[in-house]
Amino acid sequence: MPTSVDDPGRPNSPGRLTAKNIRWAEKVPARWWRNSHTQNGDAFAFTKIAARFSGPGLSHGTLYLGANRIACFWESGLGRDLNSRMPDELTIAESDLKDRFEFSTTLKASGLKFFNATDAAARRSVGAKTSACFSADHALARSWAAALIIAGADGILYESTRQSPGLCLALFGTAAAKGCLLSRKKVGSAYDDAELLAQLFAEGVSIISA
Amino acid sequence: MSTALTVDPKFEKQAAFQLLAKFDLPAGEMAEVFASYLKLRPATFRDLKGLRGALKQRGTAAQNDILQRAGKILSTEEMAERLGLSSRQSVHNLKARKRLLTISFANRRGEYFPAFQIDAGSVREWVPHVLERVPDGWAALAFLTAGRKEFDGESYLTRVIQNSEAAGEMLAAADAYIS
Repeated sequence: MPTSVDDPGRPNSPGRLTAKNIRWAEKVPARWWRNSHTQNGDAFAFTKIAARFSGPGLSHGTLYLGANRIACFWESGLGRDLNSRMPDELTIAESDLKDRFEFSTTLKASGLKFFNATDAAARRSVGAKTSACFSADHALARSWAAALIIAGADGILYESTRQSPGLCLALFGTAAAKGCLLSRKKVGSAYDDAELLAQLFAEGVSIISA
Repeated sequence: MSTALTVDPKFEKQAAFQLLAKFDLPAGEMAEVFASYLKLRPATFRDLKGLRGALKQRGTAAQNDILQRAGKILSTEEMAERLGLSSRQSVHNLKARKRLLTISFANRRGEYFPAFQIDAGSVREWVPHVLERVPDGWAALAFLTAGRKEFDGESYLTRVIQNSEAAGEMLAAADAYIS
C-alpha cells in the first residue's frame, strides 16, 4: 500500500539565497510595454503598492512591464477588473480605453541580474519546489521577491497569470535597474490599438458610450 | 456578395465583425472562431472602425443590463426633489463637483442619475470617492454593477448598499481599476 507524501505542487517559502548559486537569466528581451491610465501620472513609476512582486516591505519599488501590449492590458487595473467579473458582465465604457495609454521602453539588460521564474532549472537553483511560488499567493511571491532582492536580483521574469499569455518583468528600483531603461515612448491610446480591440471582441467584452 | 467577401479583405472583416456580434456566441466559442479568423486576417489600423462598431453594437444590450442592475434612474428634476434642492442648477453644481454619478444617452437629451446614490435625502458618502477614482459615469456604473467572481456574482453596489462598511474594499478595487 503506497504511503502518502506531501503535495509536491504546494509552494514553499524561500530560504536564504546565495547569488552565486542562482541560475540567472541569460537572455532578456529588449523591448517592453506598459499600459497605464492617464490619472497615474508617470507610467514608469516604481510602485510600493502591495501586489505580486511589490509592497511596502520590499527595499525597492517595482515597475511591472509586459513583453507584449495584450498581456500588458490584461495585467493593467482594467484588465484585472474584467478578470474579476462574471464572464457575461465584461462591459466597459469607451472612456476606459480612451484614457489608457500604451508605452514602450527599451531595456539594456547587460550587467543586471534577472531571475527567470518560468525556467524550471532557475527555480530549482533557488529551491522553489513549484512555479506556484511565483504565480499563486501574492504574499508568498513577495517573500520570494524579497529574498531575491537580497541576493542581488534586479528583476523577476514571469508568465502572466491573466487572460493573455505573455512574459512579464517585475523590475526592481535598484540604481542599476533604473539606469537600464533607455527610452520611454508613449505609443498611443488603447482605443486605437486594433489588435487589442480584436482580442477584447474575441473575449466577449462590450463597450458602452454615451 | 460571395465574390466580394473573398477579394476584399476589408469588406470581409467588417462582415465578420458584424456577423460575430450579431450571433452573440458564448465567449469561449467566440474566442475560438475569432482567433482562427485573426490568424488569416490579423487586425490592423484599418479595422479600428469595424472593431469599435462591433464592440459598441454588443454594448447596446449590455447597457440595458447595467441599467437594470442599477435600478431606478432619475431625471434632473427628480434628483433635485430627492435631495430637497430648489433648482436644476443645484443638481448640476453637484455633478460638476463630482458629487453625483451622472449618465447620458446618445438618443435622449439631458442627464440622468441612478437613484441608488441617494439615501434619506443625501448623497451616499462613498459616491464622490468612487468618482474621484473613476470619473466617467458609465465607467463607474459598469464597475459598480458588475457581478464579481469572488462574491459569487454579487456586485460591489449590492454589497455596499447592504453594508456601508463594504465601501473600503470597493474603493480599494476602484484604486486598482485605474492602475
